[in-house]
Amino acid sequence: MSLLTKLRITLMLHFALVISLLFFAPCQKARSADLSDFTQGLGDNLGKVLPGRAGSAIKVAIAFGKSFQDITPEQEYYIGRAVAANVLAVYRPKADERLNLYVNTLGQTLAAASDRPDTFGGYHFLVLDSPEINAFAAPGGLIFVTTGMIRVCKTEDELAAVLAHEISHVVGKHGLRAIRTSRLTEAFSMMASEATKSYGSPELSRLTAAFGGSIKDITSTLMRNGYSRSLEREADKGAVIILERVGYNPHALVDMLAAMKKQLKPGGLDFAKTHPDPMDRIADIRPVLSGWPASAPSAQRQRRFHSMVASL
Amino acid sequence: MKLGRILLVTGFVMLLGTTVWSDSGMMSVQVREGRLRSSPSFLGAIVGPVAYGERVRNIEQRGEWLDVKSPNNLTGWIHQSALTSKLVVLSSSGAVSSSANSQEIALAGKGFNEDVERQYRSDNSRISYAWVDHMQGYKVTRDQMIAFLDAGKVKPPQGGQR
Repeated sequence: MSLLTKLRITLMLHFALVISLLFFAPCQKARSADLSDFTQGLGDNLGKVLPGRAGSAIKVAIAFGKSFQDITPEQEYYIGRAVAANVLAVYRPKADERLNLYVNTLGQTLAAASDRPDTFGGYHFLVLDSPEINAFAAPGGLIFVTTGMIRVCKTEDELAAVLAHEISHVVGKHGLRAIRTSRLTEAFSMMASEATKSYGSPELSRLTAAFGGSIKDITSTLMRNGYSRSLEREADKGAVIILERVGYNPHALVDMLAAMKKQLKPGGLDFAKTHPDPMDRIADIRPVLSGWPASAPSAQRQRRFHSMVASL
Repeated sequence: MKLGRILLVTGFVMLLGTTVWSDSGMMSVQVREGRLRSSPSFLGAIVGPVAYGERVRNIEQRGEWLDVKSPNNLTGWIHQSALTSKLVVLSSSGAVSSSANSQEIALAGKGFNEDVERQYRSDNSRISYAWVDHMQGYKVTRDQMIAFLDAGKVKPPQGGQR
């Protein structure tokens, strides 16, 4: 065997090793095809190969995270609470315990069947008293739906479709993606330098400024600019999967979008402003739905739904 | 030839390192209230809780569900979204070296935390958290979910599993 052949074989072996690492390293956690998840998973595992780092006292210049993927569930929780408080500074809650319990029972059941059933503080829902046709999801699982939106739904399955869509925004961390990189760089660099001690007053002010900026980035996306059409498509796809898993009619998403189309005012300030045209969303989701059978809600389910929303 | 051998040995060491690590199969709970279940399903009966930061040993994986053993020898299924391969270090333990990086550990209670929320609230006094706290009080148990689905005759299509 010539030297060249041996070198070739060695290179091929290494190539095979790298490929196997690429495939096996992220299998514990990264089930989606999201590239950033994927590379993050790879990084996690490669990091683990190096022993004894946590015990060392030498300071190394590795930034404490880079992107929204590095935000821990605990930090996402505090971001979500602040975003929710900002939503509630604009919208009045519907103080109807029976209705809120119903929406929570439905919503938390759907969330349990999602690809991310466990967030730091769990999923919680609240009805907002507004004629606007709208729904919002704050990071970590604090989800709002307006009475105007509930009125558009004709069945529990359609309401389930609205909630499952919002849950999917949380699953995909779509809110966190709206945070400007500069804010995260600032926060992560502070975490790296302040890892061992609690924050003093100047550090706390800087962190709070980065926090406040992040909240502003997310709330303006939720309430003014909206997500991209591709993220909405992802949320609709996620909704169909959740509905199917639990046993709701996944076609209810299309029914709800069609009903919404009739009621939204073009150029309006609500859902019409922050979401793609319902007809575009229907066109996007149709291919996903083609494999699922449609089903009608049971009489018991319809009675329950009507009794809950009758007062709206 | 020599180069080839060196590369090969390096490859084997890397492979060995990865195997040893994945065999150890330790994961950390990254949510406040982790729950172990009797089956790999979102409606599986709850066997017991696992706390934030607790290390669990991964015994088996089925889809997105992991069969794990907790430090107090409780075994059960938990969704992978509740776990991280990182070491979650509670700041109160004070055991973290600043040399550790975000790919190995997650610092609990650091970054955007309770202190930052307190500061943010005092800077933005017009924003109220009262209803945020209120909505977080809505908690639905697994039994309530099952009763709700049964009462509404919500069933997954044939062959579907919960």
